[in-house]
Amino acid sequence: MRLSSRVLCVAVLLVAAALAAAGCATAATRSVWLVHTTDFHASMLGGAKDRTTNRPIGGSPVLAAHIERFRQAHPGAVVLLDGGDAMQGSALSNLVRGRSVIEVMNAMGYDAMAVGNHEFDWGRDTLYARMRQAKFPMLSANIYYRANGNRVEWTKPYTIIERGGVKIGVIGITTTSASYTTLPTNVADLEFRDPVPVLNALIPEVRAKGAQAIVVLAHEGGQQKKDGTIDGPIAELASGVPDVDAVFGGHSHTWVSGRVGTTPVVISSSNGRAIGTIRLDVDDATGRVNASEPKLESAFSDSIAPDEAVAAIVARYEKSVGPALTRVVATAASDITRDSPEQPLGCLMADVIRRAGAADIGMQNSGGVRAEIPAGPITTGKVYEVAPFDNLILSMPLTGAQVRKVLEEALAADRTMQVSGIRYSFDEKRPAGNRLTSVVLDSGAPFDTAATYTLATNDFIVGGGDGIQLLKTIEDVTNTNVLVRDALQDWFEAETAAGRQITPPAPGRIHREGER
Amino acid sequence: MITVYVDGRAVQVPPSMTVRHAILRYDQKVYEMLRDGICYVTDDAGSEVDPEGALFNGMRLFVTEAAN
Repeated sequence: MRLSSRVLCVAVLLVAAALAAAGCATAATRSVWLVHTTDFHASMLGGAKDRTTNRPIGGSPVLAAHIERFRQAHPGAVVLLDGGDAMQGSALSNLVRGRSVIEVMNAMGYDAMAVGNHEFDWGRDTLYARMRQAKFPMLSANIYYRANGNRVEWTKPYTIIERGGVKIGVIGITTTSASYTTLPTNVADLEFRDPVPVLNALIPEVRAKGAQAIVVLAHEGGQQKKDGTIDGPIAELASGVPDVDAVFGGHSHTWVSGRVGTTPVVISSSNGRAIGTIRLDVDDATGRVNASEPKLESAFSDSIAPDEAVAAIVARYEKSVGPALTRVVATAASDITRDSPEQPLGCLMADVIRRAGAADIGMQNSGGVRAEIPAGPITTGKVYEVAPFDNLILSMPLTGAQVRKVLEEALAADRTMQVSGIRYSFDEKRPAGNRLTSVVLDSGAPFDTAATYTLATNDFIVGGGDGIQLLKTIEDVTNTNVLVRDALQDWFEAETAAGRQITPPAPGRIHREGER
Repeated sequence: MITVYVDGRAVQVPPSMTVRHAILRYDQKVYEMLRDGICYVTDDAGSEVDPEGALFNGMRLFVTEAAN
């Protein structure tokens, strides 16, 4: 009899150990799996490749299938979270202002999402519409009105999710860089506060409402070193908020799965390439929470059948958005070409950039004008052809001497900068650095090398493209967060609404000495 | 300006910029190779970093030649 009891005890212990190893709840603990994606950026279509393995990866139907497989392995115990920046990034979403992505996320059964900086890209009304469409809350605890210091009322700071008998408090955080990493005018009235004091003040309230575990869902970045240590803003957040059980980050599009102190921290890459997981075991008797080692799993598409329901949604949007690329936004009165050295289309783009940047002078690099516009209807697809790169418009104050230097640097690299607001002549036979023969303002006023002008140009030029070194040293750079392509299309549509056709700018902005 | 490191070399970039801007400031030829898929960016541990990812002060990036 005594022997039988021992055998029974050993058997019970073995079963308990096996269950614990499998991540299942025992009589004493309940387990919840936190599953995380972030920075999806509307990567709904597959076709991407993981460069480190050369395997196909991502796409909404594949991501959904991986998550569903995880749910089937842990029925009733999965909390699905997203770290924000979900909607902006591809024509399939941009052309319907994120509606397609939210529909897919609803179908995938997300429980909560953090508000990322790019959620503001299309304006607040669009964000509110997407929030109404979403069957899950978009969370942020650190967005406040500048005017009165109140937390904004249109997003919840946290939610409490009950799963497998465990109440998980999920608190959202938006990157403090959001004031300058989205269209600034869309967030001008908002303050994105340091998350650490915000969280430390909020956590007691979330616990008082019954949360047994606290999870921070942050759109804030970081990086992991070879030795496993994590640094960057997400590490500062995790180390500054001790009373949390798990921290998820985003924004930096990096792969992070480790610990800061004892807190598990995960950033699940971007674009639907990875799924991060952390298991929380909650002790029924003591309420103590233990977090498993965080993991990241690649969402390879060659190892799983795509989710059919999600694939159907994506296919429907492909079918409906496809014609949008053939939508006529304007009519060109004549061919708008890319002649050399003065490109009518390049100068037109410089005009658009100058206007979008509210600047005195606009510049567009010749090589960034990728197609010509023939006379006749201009479609959205044509706009994409002309400006296929996602170049942003930046503005900055420069002296007239610095403007001259930028033009000289381009000429030294055998490039001619397309311009708006100024006209210039050059002699390519003169030594590099001394090729400009004249610069005048379009307005007729004298160009003053000592005066300060506002220059608007694209981020390629500011980044040092085409040999432009000077702009790399300018600190006072304002990011409009407006794409050149969007500004171009907006201007085309505005001209059409005003009853005008698109005509090339009058010639005479760029003159090569020796030519008539 | 913030400082990030590309293949160990310090690169100054405005804080609103992304990984691809840091690569452009590092070397335009490398940027064009990145744009054309000839190379990609990784972190210290060898994981790929998306060119549209946000930067933070002290971030370390590495350029890796694509297999094909």
